[in-house]
Amino acid sequence: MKIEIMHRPSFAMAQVDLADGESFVSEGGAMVTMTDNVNIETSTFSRGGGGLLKGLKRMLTGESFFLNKFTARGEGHVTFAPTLVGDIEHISLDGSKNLIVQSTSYLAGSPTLELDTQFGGMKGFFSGESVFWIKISGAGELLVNSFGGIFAKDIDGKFICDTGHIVAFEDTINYKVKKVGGWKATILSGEGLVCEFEGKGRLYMQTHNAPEFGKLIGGKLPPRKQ
Amino acid sequence: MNYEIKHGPSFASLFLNLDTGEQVRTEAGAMVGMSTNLSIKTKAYGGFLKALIRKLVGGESIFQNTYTAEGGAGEIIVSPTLPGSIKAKTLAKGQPFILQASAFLACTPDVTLKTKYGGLKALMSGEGLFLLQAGGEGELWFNSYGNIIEIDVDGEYIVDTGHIVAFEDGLSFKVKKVGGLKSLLLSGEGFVANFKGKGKLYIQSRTVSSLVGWIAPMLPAR
Repeated sequence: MKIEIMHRPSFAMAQVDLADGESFVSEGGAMVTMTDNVNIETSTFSRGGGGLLKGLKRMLTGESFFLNKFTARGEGHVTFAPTLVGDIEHISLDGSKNLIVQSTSYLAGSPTLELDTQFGGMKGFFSGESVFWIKISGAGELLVNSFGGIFAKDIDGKFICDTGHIVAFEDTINYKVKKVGGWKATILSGEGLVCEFEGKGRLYMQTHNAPEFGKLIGGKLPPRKQ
Repeated sequence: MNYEIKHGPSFASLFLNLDTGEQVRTEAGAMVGMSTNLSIKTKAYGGFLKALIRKLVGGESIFQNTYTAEGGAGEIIVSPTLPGSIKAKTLAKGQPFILQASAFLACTPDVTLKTKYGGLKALMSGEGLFLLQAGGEGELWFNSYGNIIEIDVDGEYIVDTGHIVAFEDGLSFKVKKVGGLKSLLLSGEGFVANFKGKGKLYIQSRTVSSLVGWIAPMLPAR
């Protein structure tokens, strides 16, 4: 398997070259092109059939209920692209640590990776952002996407990140949601609640915040007519 | 203090390193990430009443945040809401700099900001042109939707009002019709800003109002 990311960073698209019998899994709607010897199979599965429950949990995150599995018969390739303009990052996982991915940042990955939706808890809810994370475990290749550019921040100690800018993080770092400052700053600063990360590990961040962009454009659109 | 603008021109983001006690003031909601030893203070800028009017009419934010590195050096990453570019401007005493209200991203603490009205004509142009006048000494960072293009004006120059990002004090502009009445109604340009004087003019390669105008008719009726 070979993965190449083209048209970075504004309009990134990933090409995954598959050998005979190799597979790759993506979220629904992410496939752009593929060779005609690639077979597509749609299910709720993750690692050999995660089942209905995992599909339902995924649906709660705003992700598609179904995942697509692409399998090559002979050599072939599939290309994938996210919905929003921005970058794609290729992360190789060796199984020694898990990665927590913000639910809209998952694009595609090896079939050996296990996806499990996690409820971020009430603290996530209060931050006004996605309440859900996808926990990715096992060894394999993973593609995550961003709104804007992606950059990695190696944390050793503490670091604060706005909830709308988190792409993914290794589970060797913990986070707690806290106020950005005093009550006045929390209410008026436009920052509200933030994630404070602590530990040693890598955090992937995105330069831009999709919900904020959506609110800015949406606020200027005319109301829908009856 | 040192800084770097990365991921431009499409997704420019400002990466700042502050020494102990150093401060930076930012647009509300622009913080992406920061060290835990940075404190935050929130204040209305350009006078609360003017800020409120700007908020109600122009949709700009009332508040700005001042971040201070306490008890050691620290870093902060700041991004605008819109995808686009960021430029830095070093301000000297007695050389104010004018920017469109939505173009402000961040500044050092000795930079002052005043709200200026673009006038009735500017409002008529449909861009809701509220301007900020930056003065004092220090560094100012401003952002655009699309790329920022720097133009040296000496004499007169015409810009579509929605594309104005910022300009030096040696320049002033009047809003006028693009041509005759026929052009005004049919050219798709409407009102333009006619700049006069000598100085640098910064424009953006795209406008939010055009994007909104393109998307709006495609929304399904419910």
